[in-house]
Amino acid sequence: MKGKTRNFAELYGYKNLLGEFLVRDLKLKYQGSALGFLWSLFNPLLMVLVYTIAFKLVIRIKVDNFAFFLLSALLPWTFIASSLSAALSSVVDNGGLVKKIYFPREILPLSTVLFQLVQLLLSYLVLLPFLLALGSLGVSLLLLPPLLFLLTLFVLGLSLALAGLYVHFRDLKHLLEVGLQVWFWLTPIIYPFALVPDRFKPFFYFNPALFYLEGCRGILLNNRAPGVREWGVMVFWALLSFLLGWRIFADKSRRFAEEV
Amino acid sequence: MVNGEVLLENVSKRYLLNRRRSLHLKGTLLGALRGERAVKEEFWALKDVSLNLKPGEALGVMGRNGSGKSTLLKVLSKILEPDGGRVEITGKIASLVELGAGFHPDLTGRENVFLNGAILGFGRREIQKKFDEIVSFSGIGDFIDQPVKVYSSGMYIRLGFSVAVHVNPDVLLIDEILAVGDSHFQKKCFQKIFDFRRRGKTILLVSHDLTSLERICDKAVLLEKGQVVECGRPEEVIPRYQALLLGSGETAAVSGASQRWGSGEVKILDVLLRDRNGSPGKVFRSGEPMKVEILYRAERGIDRPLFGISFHGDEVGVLSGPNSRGQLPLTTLPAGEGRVEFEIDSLPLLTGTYRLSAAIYDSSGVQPYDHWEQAFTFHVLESTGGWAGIGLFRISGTWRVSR
Repeated sequence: MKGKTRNFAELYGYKNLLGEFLVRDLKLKYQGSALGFLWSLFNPLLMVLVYTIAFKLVIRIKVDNFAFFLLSALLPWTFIASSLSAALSSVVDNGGLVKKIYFPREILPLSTVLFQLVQLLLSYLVLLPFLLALGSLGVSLLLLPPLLFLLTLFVLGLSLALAGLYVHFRDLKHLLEVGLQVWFWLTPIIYPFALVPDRFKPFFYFNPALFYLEGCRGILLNNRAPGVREWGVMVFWALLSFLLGWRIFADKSRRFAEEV
Repeated sequence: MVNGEVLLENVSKRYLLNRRRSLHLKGTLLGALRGERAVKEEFWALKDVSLNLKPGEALGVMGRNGSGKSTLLKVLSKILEPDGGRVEITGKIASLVELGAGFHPDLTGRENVFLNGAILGFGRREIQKKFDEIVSFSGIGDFIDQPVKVYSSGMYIRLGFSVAVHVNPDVLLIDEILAVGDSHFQKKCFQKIFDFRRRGKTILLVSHDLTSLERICDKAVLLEKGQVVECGRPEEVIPRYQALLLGSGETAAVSGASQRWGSGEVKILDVLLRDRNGSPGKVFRSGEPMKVEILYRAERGIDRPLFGISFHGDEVGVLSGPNSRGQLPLTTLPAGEGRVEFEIDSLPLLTGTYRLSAAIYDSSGVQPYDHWEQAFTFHVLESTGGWAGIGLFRISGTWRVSR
């Protein structure tokens, strides 16, 4: 236990590095591109267009304001998916650094996840005026920050575990790709949870993403705050994922310099 | 513990060699199913190494290639975790092992200084305060606002060195840094390191360059097969290291670029350089006695052969080439083995690395029997006292003032 607290304290001492990594990634991403951040919006907007054609026009799913319905959950999903894919290889990609210099290795997946979080917040910021015009926002918006905090903790845990394991098992990359596909379609993102037949619903409750994304959607679209039970589930998954991921990463990181 | 203390207790580091380290799930799963155990061959890069450095001490680490020096540095800088023992270092560590590691080519020098400083564990304000000093020391000038991908490798390393030494560490780890940059910058590096010593910082230097090691360090250890085999003052440990080099065949004759020619009627078997105590080695002190010994074997009797040696400095060619014409009471060299000596009362060469040639020629000095060109390398250390000045060798004289 003493070792772990020292670990956190040491990490705090390196908070400047976390900031520098974040600034570096943002700079590198938008350096020399005229449209800058707008490019990050391009992908979700394209998805909205495609899904609208497929689900609204062709399959004729019965959902009002389909574009906003979709975006409210697609943006946090993009945060989950991009974080995991980027964090997976974060240690391996920085192998040169890991072999040459000491710093708390946790910084690598941590800064990738935070980078994706910044992207999510920026996209939400762009979405906000439209939602205001739509008149769907209310006081429950105040609950979005704590919800995103729990979501980040959940994603961070998975990211740490993946980044730590990937150094040994390079097959994880392919597994993750497939896994994300399956996860995407089994989570009510394009379709409302209400459309899921009742007899299947119990299985869906095992999916942590359901709670986070439904939470976001409820707050942004219907001014509906998650209930106590939903909060409990979200806290549970966030803590479980984070603690487990932290343990796995700490264990694996001892030999990174030799194996990366 | 005070900042700057370094403590290693029975530190061991093991590498696993040639083991079937599977990078793929499939391999691991199949291996486990078949009951295969990964074949593990152990190699102890460090074994029970204990060191204790108090703040302000400078330790030199010597050892042959593969003796564990680099592993020791990596364990000290926390890159590698030891498999046994305890490492405790108080205060901030700066490692001059990988200069400029973590520089990103697309970012400017300025941005990289902050990034690199952060990687070394320093806060933004700390770096901000030192920024101007860092830039001026590196001599990068206006290039600081250019992306580092346009830098030359020298500029790259200079900036890296500059960041590492300016962030005010308590412990400085150095690996052969004296090979950094041009000679002007090397001089600045040296000054900076002596500066650290004056300010009571702890230094750990790994080097093959015995001259600088002796100048900088007040303690030294010799590593062999991952273990500390000798520990003491540098002048005590250096001879032991040299003996180790001698015993292993890594003798004074190392220069791969050296050439040898001659008719071979007399052959030079070996050349030994002996210090004032008569022990052979490759490090000598300026101003002290030195003896060059040429061991030869003659296939037949040779009429009035000439023995010669010459001293070469880096980039300056022959410094001096004494030969035995009229010096040896010898008419015919009988067949068989023998030895010829050249004794120097007071070695006039100053600090540096020099090469020696040795040759045996016929009486006219035209036909070589055996000529070894610049085949022997040796080092000269500063004298223990007496001579003041610069240059390659000493010209002795007496200063007087009159009015």
